[in-house]
Amino acid sequence: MDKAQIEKLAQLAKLSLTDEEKEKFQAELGGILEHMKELDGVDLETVPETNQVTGLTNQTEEDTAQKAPFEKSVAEEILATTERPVEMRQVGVPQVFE
Amino acid sequence: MHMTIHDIQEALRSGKASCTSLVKEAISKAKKEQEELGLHITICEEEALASAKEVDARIAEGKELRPLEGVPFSAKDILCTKGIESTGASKILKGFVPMYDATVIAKVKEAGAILIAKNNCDEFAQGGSNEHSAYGAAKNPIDPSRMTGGSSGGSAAAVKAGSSVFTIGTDTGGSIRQPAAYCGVVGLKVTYGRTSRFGSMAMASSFDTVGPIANTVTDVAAVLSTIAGQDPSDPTTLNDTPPDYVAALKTPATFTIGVPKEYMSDDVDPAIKEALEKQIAMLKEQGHTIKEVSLPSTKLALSAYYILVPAEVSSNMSRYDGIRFGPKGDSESLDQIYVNNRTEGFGKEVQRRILLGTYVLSHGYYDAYYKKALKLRTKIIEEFNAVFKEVDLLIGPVTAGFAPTSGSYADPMAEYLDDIFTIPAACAGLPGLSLPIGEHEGLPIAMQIIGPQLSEEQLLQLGYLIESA
Repeated sequence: MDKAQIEKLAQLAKLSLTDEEKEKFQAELGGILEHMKELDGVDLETVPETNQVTGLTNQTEEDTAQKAPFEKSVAEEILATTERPVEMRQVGVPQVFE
Repeated sequence: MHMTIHDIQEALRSGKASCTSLVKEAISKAKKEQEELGLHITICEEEALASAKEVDARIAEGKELRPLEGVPFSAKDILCTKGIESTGASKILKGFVPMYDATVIAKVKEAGAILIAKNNCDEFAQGGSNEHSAYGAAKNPIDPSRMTGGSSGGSAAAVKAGSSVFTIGTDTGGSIRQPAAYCGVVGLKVTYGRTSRFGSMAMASSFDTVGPIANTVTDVAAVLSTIAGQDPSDPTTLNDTPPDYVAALKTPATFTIGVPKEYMSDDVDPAIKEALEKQIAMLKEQGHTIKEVSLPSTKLALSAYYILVPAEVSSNMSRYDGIRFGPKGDSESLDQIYVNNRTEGFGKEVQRRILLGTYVLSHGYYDAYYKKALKLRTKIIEEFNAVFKEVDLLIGPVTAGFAPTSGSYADPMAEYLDDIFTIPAACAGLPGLSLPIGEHEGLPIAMQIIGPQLSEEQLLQLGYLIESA
């Protein structure tokens, strides 16, 4: 794995890495991918993919009113935890589009 | 030495001990465990004593004991507990106090159990050592120069050290079974979907399971009976009605047991192999049938796992954005808030897995890695299915060796390789029991029992037979 790749990945993952960290991750990820070279020879052409192991699909429930698991005031409690400005039950953030 | 659920309830019924006195003792043990071994992140003394007072009042009123009445337990800090800080062993959630209990926690509390502490673990369950916590490494109570294992390290250790009669941990690739093996306690990874993941901070959503750790098979069965079942809040839970796991223990049963030859390789410590072979011989004498079987993709499963899990991790960790919780950085732009918070808030192992996951999912690498791993997952499942046509259960080691000395992993891959025997069952969503079967130079040896989906009853029956022998 090269430095440019690590930098790209860090950018996608929203992580800021020092040069030292980039080098370390380069080496570590390189080592892990080296181990995975064992998959190169394995023929899985005709094998289907497994995305989940339960076999469950589209689990539904009746659309009936139930007792709310939270008490009434919880929205206020949640909003009180952020240090960011709160307006009309919304959390303020810097502008999204530059 | 260790009180079981039965012991606690006998003491409460007979009036020999009050719940308050038992909880006081448990808290004092937890404090010692925290000081000497770093097993806990939060100890909830006040809340526990308040609950104990309620239990004593119920007993005084002559109310019948609920299944886990008065039993002190602790939970891996990756599980949300109402009103008690839950950090996931990460800096990024420091100060986060959930407004709800995870379903499994709510269930054990409803059954009368008393939460005394939140346990140390690897950050967001990512690790096999409990050395990747933002709150310090956990030490093995049997030998503090060694790791507890992980990621549910603090939880397994707290059961061995004695503050907690049982703990609730999570197992994604071995995180209950492996530390249970290293700490000499009984740990159960359930069938994926047997218990609810609601309120468990997601690591790898198609692998994560929530399960019990205790000193005896009976206690694990009792906790499982309380926590198993469908949950409308978690649509991946199975519709199957759980049986009474405790009642099932005493049912006489004979099994056809497979020993996968790949699990008894030369990599396994000879002392562990010897202990397993001794058990196998005993089982034969008791009338069970033993067969050698093969799971050819065992070694490859590790690569599949370390592609699929970091991929799911990279997705699940993207919810931590610094808007509501986490370290604050001075920043003008939204992007900078994300970067500053995540860079400061996530430890190295989590960052490593996010980067690896991002890589295997990215354009150009997706087919070679992620898609291939999804196919390998199918192969692993097919191999288990084929083997379970011939045998009821499988036995083998949990780990190739004993609890490593602290800080001894040379690189991440070395730590990952220790999961080699626990990973394949996790890929297939199968249940696995880690059971202590002996000792070598003071360190515990464990056996793993693996079964088909929803075979927890059989796993526990066989475990009980072996434990009682």
